[in-house]
Amino acid sequence: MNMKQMQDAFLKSVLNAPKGSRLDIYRANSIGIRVNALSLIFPKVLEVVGVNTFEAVATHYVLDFDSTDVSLDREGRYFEQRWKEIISEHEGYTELQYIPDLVRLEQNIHGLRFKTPNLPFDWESAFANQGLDNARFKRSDPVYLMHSNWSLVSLFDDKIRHHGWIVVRLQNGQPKISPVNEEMANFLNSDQTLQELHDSGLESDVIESAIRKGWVCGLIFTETSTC
Amino acid sequence: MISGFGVGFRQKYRRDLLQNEVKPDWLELLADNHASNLDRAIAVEMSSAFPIAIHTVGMNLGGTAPIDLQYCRTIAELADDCNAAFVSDHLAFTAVGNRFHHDLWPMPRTIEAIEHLSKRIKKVHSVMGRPLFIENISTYVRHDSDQMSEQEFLHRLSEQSGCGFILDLNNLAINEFNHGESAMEVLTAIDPSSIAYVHIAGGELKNEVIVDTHSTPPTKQVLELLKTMQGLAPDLPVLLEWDSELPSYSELMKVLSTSRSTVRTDS
Repeated sequence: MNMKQMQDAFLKSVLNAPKGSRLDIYRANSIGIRVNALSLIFPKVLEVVGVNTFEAVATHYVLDFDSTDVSLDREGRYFEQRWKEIISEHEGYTELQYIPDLVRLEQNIHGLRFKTPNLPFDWESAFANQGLDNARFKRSDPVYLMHSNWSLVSLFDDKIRHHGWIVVRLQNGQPKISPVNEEMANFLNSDQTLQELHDSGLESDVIESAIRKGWVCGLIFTETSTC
Repeated sequence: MISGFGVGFRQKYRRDLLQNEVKPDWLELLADNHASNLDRAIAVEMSSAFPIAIHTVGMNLGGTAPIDLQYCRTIAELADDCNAAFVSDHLAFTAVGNRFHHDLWPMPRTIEAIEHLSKRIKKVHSVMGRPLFIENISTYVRHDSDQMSEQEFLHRLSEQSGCGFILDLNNLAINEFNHGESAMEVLTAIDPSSIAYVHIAGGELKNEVIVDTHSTPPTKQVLELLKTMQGLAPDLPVLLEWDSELPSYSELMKVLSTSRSTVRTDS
């Protein structure tokens, strides 16, 4: 038996190990490690549904989806979908319809940790370029924009009840969530040139506000970027 | 350089490590927890205050899938950024093919395994441009195909791959309990000059097996092993691991102090 065959056989033995046996420790450890990773990526989901429900759902999830990535930071790729299924299949969970959105939000908050902070917007060099009308604003990488029909922001800041568009970024490692109006969301989402933005009648204070808050970091030109 | 008694870094202890007067001598960072830019910045921050060793769990040295070169480069970059004294991973396979279980599964102690591991350790050496140290693991089963003792396996692996070791004394003690293999025999058979530092920790007894949970203080037996080790290599650095059911910072420092004084009193 070569090394690959040996390891395949060992995996098979672990998966079929009797409960409480020594081999079952490996199975339990593996599940525990991945469930713990999910609890670190989705702390608010855990807080909302409680430890028992979270662990039950997470355990089923890791049993259904193999991990094919060395990094536990990328666990939970299909967790949003799993919660959608659970909520649609169980009448008792109808009050938790916002969980898939919360999963998506937390997944992206976690993802923001991997982004490289952009330099602050440099007006002078940005506008020193020629062909400005065809330039587009570049949204900062460590910023995430999402829409939810649920008041997710209240889960992070109990003073703010808001549903709709939100902008999320990290501040000192903690998520900072800002509700934004449709106009700002459209601006951040749009891929319009400066000329097109001007023609659309967008108020300049929307752009200025986005720059001041660091949600956009520069301009993308045909060939170069100020970022 | 690292020396004295260190602890494994955990976010929970970040503020105390930077501000508290009572501190460990050095830190071990689990690189897999510092992959993101944000967490890398924290690692660098800690390295400005403490000597650092980098520990990893993702190299899958015993596995059969190709070594993840990007992962090794990322670890090497982090080690450079933190001016790390050592980089280490485990004598185990953490994936079967491309399916990661993320736990440390035991290698058979065979000639074939030594050849397999040696090739992969050398590959990591060359990709990282620095030596990789290997940690012995605790196990709950042994392979029927085992051809040699733990000490012979470690000795031959070091000879063939050129690797040094992180010697985990708790893992030796657990293997003694779980398999009846003498921890002291393994410890005294290893060339102390091949050891970068030692790990101490505590496990939990479950169903007549000790599981390596890193959730309790080192046992009396582990401290006995530490005393013996310090007798053989007095300046060998020591690392207290604590990964689950984390105690308060003051409790952690108390356990570290107890471990330190136990060795000092009797030496």
